[in-house]
Amino acid sequence: MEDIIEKNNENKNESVNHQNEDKETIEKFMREALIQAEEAYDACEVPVGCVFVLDNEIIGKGRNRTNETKNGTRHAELEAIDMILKNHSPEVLKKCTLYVTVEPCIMCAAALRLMEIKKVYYGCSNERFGGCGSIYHLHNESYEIESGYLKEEAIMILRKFYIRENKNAPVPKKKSNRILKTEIM
Amino acid sequence: MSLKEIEYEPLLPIEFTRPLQTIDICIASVEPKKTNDILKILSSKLSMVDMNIGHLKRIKKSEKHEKLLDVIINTSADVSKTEKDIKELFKNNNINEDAIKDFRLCQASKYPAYTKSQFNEWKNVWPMIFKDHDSQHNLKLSEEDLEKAKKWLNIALEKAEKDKSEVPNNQFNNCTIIVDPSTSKVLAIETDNRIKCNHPLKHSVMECIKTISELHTKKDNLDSENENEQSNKRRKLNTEIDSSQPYLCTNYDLYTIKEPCIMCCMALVHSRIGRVFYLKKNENDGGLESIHQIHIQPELNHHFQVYKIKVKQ
Ligand SMILES: [Zn+2]
Ligand SMILES: [Zn+2]
Repeated sequence: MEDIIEKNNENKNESVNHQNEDKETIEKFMREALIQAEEAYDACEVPVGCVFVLDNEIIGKGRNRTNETKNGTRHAELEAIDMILKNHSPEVLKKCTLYVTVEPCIMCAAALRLMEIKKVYYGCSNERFGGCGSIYHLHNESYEIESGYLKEEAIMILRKFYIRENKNAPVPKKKSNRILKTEIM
Repeated sequence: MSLKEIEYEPLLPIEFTRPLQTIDICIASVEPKKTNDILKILSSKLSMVDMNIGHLKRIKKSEKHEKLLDVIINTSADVSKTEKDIKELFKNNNINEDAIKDFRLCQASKYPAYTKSQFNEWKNVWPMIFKDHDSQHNLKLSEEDLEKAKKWLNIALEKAEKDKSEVPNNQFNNCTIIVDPSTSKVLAIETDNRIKCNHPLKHSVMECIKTISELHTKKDNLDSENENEQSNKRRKLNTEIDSSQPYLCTNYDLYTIKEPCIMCCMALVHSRIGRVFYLKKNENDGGLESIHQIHIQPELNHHFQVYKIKVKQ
């Protein structure tokens, strides 16, 4: 998987333009998303994190929680949306921008469309499951995407995670290692 | 509404449903007596499998030249180069170059036939070899499977109907059931809760996955409790789920009224569902037949079987 992340992200020529938010603002919120990813890493979850921003203010944060909940669908984006909907009506998402360290998977990309999110910034691509360009283009005719912000950091923490997982495997079982490597989110 | 007599249609990979597509093949005509020698050389130098046409027969009776046989040489469109190369090859193997003549292009099916009806149509273009993939993929449902599908879908319909009276004007009205087919135990039965909870993502499939994950976490907590405190509840949970399995819904069956949306289909990939049965197409957002075919998307790491259940006409 590390290879896949690397290859895919090296090959992509992201055109980074700054239509809505300036680079400084985008990187500031992307750092917040990375803090969430680090929290996931510390909790032995696949390190992906995100923040939802409304009028320059974070109204929801989330990180992967699939191991803790034993629910393979508890990705950062869905965690954050559930948190937001505790205090807001669903319409608020229409005015929100999402900053997420990794390209949303097909499930999350579809969920963001259902929520009618305004815009998504993501760090690195998700070659395995990506729904915003890698496998499907679910954002088309729904929400804007821009990618490549703090990409290196997003990849580094994933790589760190997989190295640790492989080291901690009691018996180096080839197959289980391979499964882990490919499960990026 | 209650289902009485039903039938099913498996939602198949493209291999089973694609129409005829042809490719150009270069053929030549040979004398029957020389065929063995010629085939020996051809199959060692230009193997059908290597050329991705292992589904075609190499040789057939010629329609153009009486008493001769037509043989596939290769898949190159450059006929004159092929002719030159083959004649050279024959010379090196002491075969008279007159034994082969009339190099020309011809059409054949590009893909192997996966169903009998594809085979019956496509073999007319050029003879083919047929392997019965239907039984290999085991997409046939037994009478028992079909009876179970009817039973669970009727329960889902009943529950959805009841939900209609509780949540009026619910355009998302639906119900999903997840069953462990090895025990026939219902692990989750949930309605669509988008309106009830004012939450656009609380689809019945997502709610079912959540319910099962909660069974798992509960069981783990109970397992770690003192043995003396072992309750009936724990025993009950123990017989229902195996929380040691790596993915939540491995080998489970899902029954639902509407074709799951794209989000729910991918949630089912993440949960490793075994089989999905549904009744109605979801034109706007369906992830199995309507918009995408997520259950057979070749780039994804888990595929599942899907059956559309229909009322027998
Ligand atoms: Zn996701
Ligand atoms: Zn859905």
